[in-house]
Amino acid sequence: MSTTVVRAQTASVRGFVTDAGDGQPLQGVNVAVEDAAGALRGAVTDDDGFFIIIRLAPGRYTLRASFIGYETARDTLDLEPGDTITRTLIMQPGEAALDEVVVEADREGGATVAAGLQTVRPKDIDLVPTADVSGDLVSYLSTMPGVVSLGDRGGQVFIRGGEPAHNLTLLDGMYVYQPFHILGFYSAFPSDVLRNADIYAGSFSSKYSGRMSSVIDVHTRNGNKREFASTISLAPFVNLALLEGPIKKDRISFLGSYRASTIERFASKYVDQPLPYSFGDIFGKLHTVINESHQLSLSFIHTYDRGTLVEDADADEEIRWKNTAYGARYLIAPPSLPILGEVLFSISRLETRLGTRENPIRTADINGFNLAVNLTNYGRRSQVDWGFYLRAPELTSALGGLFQNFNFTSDRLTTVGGYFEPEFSLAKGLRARPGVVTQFLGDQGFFVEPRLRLTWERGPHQVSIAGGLYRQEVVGLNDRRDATNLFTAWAGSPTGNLPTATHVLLGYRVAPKPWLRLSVEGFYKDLSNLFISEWTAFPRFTTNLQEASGRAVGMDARLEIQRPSFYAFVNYGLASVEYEAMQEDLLIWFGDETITFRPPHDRRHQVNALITTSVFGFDVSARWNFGSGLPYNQVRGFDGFILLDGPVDVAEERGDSRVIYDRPFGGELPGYHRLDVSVERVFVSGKTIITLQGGAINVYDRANLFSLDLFTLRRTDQLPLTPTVGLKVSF
Amino acid sequence: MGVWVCGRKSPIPPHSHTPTQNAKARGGRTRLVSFTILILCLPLLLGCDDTVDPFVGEERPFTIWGFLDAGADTQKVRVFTIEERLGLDRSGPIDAVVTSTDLDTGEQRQWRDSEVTFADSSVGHVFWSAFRAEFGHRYRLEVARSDGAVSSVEVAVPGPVELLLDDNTNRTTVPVTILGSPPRLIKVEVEYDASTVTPANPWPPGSPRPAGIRFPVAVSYNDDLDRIAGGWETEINMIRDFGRVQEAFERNCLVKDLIALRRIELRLLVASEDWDPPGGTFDPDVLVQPGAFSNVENGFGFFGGGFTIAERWTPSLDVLQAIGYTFEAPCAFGPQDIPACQLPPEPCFDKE
Repeated sequence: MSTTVVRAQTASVRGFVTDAGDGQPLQGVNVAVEDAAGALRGAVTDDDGFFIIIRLAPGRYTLRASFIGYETARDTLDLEPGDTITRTLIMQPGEAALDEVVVEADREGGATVAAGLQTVRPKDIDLVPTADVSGDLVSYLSTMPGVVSLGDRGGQVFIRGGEPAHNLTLLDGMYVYQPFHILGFYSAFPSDVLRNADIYAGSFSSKYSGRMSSVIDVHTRNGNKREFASTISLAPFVNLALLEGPIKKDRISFLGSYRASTIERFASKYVDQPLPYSFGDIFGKLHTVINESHQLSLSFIHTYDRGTLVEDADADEEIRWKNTAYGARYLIAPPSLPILGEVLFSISRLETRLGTRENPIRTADINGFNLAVNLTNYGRRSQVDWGFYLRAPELTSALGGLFQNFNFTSDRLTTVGGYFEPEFSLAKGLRARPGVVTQFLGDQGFFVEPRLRLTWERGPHQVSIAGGLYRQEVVGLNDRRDATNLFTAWAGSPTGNLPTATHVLLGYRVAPKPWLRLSVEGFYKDLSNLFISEWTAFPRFTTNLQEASGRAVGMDARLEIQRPSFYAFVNYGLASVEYEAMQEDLLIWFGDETITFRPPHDRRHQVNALITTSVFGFDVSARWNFGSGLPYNQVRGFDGFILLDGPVDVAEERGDSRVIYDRPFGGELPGYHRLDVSVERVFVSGKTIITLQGGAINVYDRANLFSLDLFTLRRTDQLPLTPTVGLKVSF
Repeated sequence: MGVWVCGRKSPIPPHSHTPTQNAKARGGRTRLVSFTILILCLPLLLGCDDTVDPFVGEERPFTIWGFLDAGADTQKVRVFTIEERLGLDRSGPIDAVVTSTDLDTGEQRQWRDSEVTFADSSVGHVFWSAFRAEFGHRYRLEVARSDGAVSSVEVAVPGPVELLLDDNTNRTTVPVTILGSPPRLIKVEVEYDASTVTPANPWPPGSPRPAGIRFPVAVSYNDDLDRIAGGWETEINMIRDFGRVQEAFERNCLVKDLIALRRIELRLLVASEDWDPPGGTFDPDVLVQPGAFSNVENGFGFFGGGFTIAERWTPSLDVLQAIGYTFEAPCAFGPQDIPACQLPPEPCFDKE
């Protein structure tokens, strides 16, 4: 009853903030209402450009929205008791006037970096020198300290100790099971279609479930609602074409992009080595503003990859995969309730093939739908995120004996679950987000995963603590003994035990000067019910699976400098990943049936330094990347094995080749380091923008090792010195 | 028509031409020099070593496989050098000298190398010596490299045993006793020398009568042995084994309903005490691990001692018929339902 009284005596204002030029929603905009006495209340727009300010006393207010690079938008509101005013604020690009309104935001907005989370925007990506004039999300991702990639090839990204299959990758709410292309410079997400990407390296919030390591939540921008625009970029590695525009001005827009690799035809010529990679992606999006409170978007993505990772590979070693996903997102801000909700429905498919097109040796498919409803209830100084979901991926595989002790065929895993995560303000500057995920996984049972995020802010300082329990319902099985084996078989847990992780992180961030930011974050992940390949001395590419547990512990540090003509950051990642496995015959081999080892993605030290500056009108960027050596299996020697299970005539029995391995992953490969540079100049004429880029990958031609075949000593290196040139035309 | 101007990707506006243009140009040059120096210095912070040597080396010089056979007049051992290359092919001479010493008599022998070429053209080194290993004697085998590195093994040849097999009964079971306290019995097998039965009158009339297909089936008795005072005993169950013979025929696309039996052989290896794999089974995935099932000092592999004993017999017709074996297909002139009587045989796909 009292709630009704309070609501009847107050009013609220909500709406969306968009760019006047193209109708895009603007995130991180300060929206404030100021009463006649000068008192301010405000909010910050989220990813959809949505803001809401509730429980305003009736009266006259000035509504102002301010954002760097835009003219301040103003409106006058006369609020009556019980009013819920909806306003769409359209901001004109112009000079910044941010100091005009000082908003003390009630809650985190889309632009705020929180514990374990980094939000990446296209302009961040564009600062990183790449082989292409158009940026790609993975370029930036690879500069993050906790992210380990095995190099220029492979498309395998490990985040803070987790395997690639432990990462949850969403594109507008659609699952993308293999989001990275076979050439490490590219993902399914060109920066030209991105709005932003939230990358949780760990300790992610309750909204996400079903994966145990990290989340890459990618949001694409909407098509231009005012006018048609297109972009074409040409480069030796990849070409891109993009078209967008209004179908109904200010209401319905489309955006479509297509990228296709040319590396096999062009870049391999001047690199003077075969680069047998073919890949590409197609993305499309339709966005509709139904009215001030409802929006609908339809998205589609298809990616394809083909290639072999070692030189002179047989046709049997070629791997191919295709992602296809369709999705719909319905966004609703009910006029009568302080709620923002979204309904997501998507169908995603990944097909992976190893071997020839006609007779693949192994196949693995994952095909499923995802229905999710996410809601946010807004209070004056708090909010509650909650929702529920239904997922049902179907897993089909034919592994050709890859894992000898498990034979997967087909399975459908249905998960029904929900989450609840309120956010409270406990004291000045201290906010808490306790959360819980509950899910029912059919035969696997009922699971509860608690989560917690705490943030304390005072002045330039921010301290954050986060943690939680995470389970993985679908496992991706690889044979990591072989660095060139990208084949991932998706399956339910082979033993019925779900892979589980416990995350804890503690972070500190300080901005002592407006141009200087420093952040340090320590993390710990406890991993259990992992599935790894068994050790064997037979030199073969099939294996048994065995269970393992592990832990990842480390620290990321970042120093960022942002000046008008100069931007730089240095990231340092210190990490240690250890797995522990038990195998009876290891007792004979190594004296203990339990063995602790560094998995092949345990990169202890990683440094990424980026400098970009403007020199005589040119944007010059350099990125230097160092990674300490990865573990690998060393060999004591090779001999032969004869099974003496009876009166065997050793003159008749040929026997089998045998590898006398040293302790698993006991060796360390040489460190990886590389310098990439780019020089870029932009020419503008009216609405036509031409970007010319030249640069080089691996400037000092470091022979970074990608793989070494221990049986043949065949070595495959990462890309050598590779000059690049690119042209991008937007009109 | 627009005029081309230089721009930047960042929201920072383009440089304007102001009185401070020269100062800015100097600043640009300074930044360029600083930038270049900085990026060129970065790689100097680290070494340039990009080589990798995956071999940590192995001090143990040899892997040896074989056994001293008290039942053979020539002894053999397969010798592998431990190398930095994969493959079984060891063609060409190897730096190894093999000697054996009878520790009971002190007699020493130097074995001779022979290169054996296998079906895949790979070459292996089999050292041999023409002598008969004595029952109950201990031997020391040494494989020495010219630098003095030696792999060696001591092995005891088991003493003689007596095999007692009562095959004169009209029963479908045969009791077996092995006396003489043999240390271990391995590869205990009963082999049924079975063959398919061909129709006496194949269809169509006048067709040549095909030959029967001989398909011996070995049934393991490793797990059916019982230790008794002074030896081991077991009982051969021919009815149970007939089922296994039928399964083997079916797996190999042979007609399982009409099987003839020529004779039965019991054979086993009387082995030295250390011929004992971990877990009691000869699982190649386990035994392949270096050091597993190895008795070689300063080396890898296994070298045992033993001898084979065997006994053959043919059960009586009554026993064979009671078990289920037959000798002639009851085929009449004309198409038959009995698969064995059909020519050509019914299609069969390998069920392995």
